[in-house]
Amino acid sequence: MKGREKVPRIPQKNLWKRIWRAKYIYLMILPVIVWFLLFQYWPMTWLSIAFFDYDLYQGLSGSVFVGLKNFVKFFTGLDFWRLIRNVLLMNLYALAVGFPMPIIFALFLNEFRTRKVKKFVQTVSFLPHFISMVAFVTIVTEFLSPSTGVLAQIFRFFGKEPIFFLGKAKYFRSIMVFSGVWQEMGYSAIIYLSALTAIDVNLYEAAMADGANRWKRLIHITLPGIMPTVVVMFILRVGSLINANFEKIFLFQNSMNLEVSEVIQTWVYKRGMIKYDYSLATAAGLFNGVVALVLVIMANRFSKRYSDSAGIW
Amino acid sequence: MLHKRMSRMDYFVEAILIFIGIIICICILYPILNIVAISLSADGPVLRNEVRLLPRGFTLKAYEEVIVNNGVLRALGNSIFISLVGCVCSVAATYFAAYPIACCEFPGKKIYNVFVLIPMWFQGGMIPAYICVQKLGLINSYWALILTALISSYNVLILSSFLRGIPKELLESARMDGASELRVMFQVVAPLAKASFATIALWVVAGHWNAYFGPLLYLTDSSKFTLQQVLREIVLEANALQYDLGTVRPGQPSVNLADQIRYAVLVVSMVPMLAVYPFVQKYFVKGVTLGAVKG
Repeated sequence: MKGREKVPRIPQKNLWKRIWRAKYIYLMILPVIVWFLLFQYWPMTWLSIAFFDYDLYQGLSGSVFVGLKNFVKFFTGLDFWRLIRNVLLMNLYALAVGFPMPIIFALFLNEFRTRKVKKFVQTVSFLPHFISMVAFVTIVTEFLSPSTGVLAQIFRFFGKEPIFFLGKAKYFRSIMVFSGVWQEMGYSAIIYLSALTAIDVNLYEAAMADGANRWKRLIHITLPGIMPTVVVMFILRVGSLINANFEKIFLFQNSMNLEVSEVIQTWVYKRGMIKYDYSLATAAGLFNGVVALVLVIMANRFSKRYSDSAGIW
Repeated sequence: MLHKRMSRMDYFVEAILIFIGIIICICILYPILNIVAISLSADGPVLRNEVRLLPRGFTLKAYEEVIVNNGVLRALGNSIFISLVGCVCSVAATYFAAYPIACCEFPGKKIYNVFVLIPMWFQGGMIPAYICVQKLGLINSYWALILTALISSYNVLILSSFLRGIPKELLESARMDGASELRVMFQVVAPLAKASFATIALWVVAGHWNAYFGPLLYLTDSSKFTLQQVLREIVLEANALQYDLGTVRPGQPSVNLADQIRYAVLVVSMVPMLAVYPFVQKYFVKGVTLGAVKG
């Protein structure tokens, strides 16, 4: 974006000429614009039903304008603080555990001297990313099953009674976080691995000439080398916090862990699609969207301040 | 550094690294291979919970049951249809959206660019999207899934930043020779962008194939279900011990056979993606890197 020359102002007559010359381009982007209007911008206009008491049969014209009533209802409702608490706790936990793991894994892969082994481990580590969420949740459920699961067998081996992990609310967050590590560690490491390859090899050679051992090289060259990437990824991760892992939470949810597993989006789904309370659900969804937008804008500001190359826009 | 002679210390460190690497691989692969092994095993060993990494009493019975079961087969067909058609449509549409941003100059380009990127930061959300799909009459149509996921602003961003890297002189000289814009687009630029098409195609196919929530919203007719939906149904109903797929047969441990069938469906749902991705790995590594730098 930077370094673009300033375009001199063009007189009106010339503009029409340029528009006419670009007519085929406009024709080309017309279907794209129609698609965006239909499937992205039109839904945005339907956010207005958050301010109405939307009537499923009468449509918007037959609905009563109620102002902020739905928002008040959502914010003062019994569920609101529980939802906020669940979103925050789950994501902070995931951030604390799930964020450093790919970095450590990338550093670990980077230490390999045998290329083939490194490549193999890396390929295997990508694998879980391509498993569908439904299959993934099934595998985890099976893994944790108190009767046939692997974990239960390990427990029995040590003479302990297996625990029904998915049936207890207190384990829910840990299951989400650690299964997330299994699923995404390898894939998330890609970005750090490519940052690692960008580090100047001469630095290592100079350090080796000065007698720095492996550990010292890791601390003084490798880590500082990927630090900008780490910071940017961290900021971006915080920016996408509120929408993280909705499908996974939804699939892991059951009546026994509802207290800790209900987040804004699952609540929106139940309110809207099961109880048909479109207006209240949309109000909650709008709140969610606005918070997500604010987070992304803030994240982008920070990452721009930190490194001038890596802003989102 | 990599070609330096290795000291004894280095060999020792390498051995430890390889050991940790093997443990990581086992941790990742074991749960998956265990599922595969159970789906290929006979009833007895499964019932006695003896199956680990290798199938015991190898049998393809569970897969035969899956094949003769209409519901699963139809769902498989539905998923393949949605993934392939969705992939072709999405790649083409993304190209049409991204090409003008990267390779053309026209009045209003900036506005168009912002117009395309806004949905990356703010969307209508679940209920408004559902209402719109409903108003368009697309409920219970595969097109609801294909069309709602047709273009992603993020992919447009990735593709256009890749296309920007193509030398402008190449385009200019083709235009000078009197080639039409479509010709430039498909005969000059497209062959150079194959790698990024592959990346986006993989993302779209994986997205469609693995999607659960979209189908849950838009497909309510069980004959239209995708494989993921059917898998979820089977899992939920097996948990309730009610799913009668391949059961209700006198003299058979029916619940248990359903267990293997469940795993067979699980394997069928995983295999296509796992089989494809090693071949396109180098593309998506590039794509992810580009995405993280630009996005």
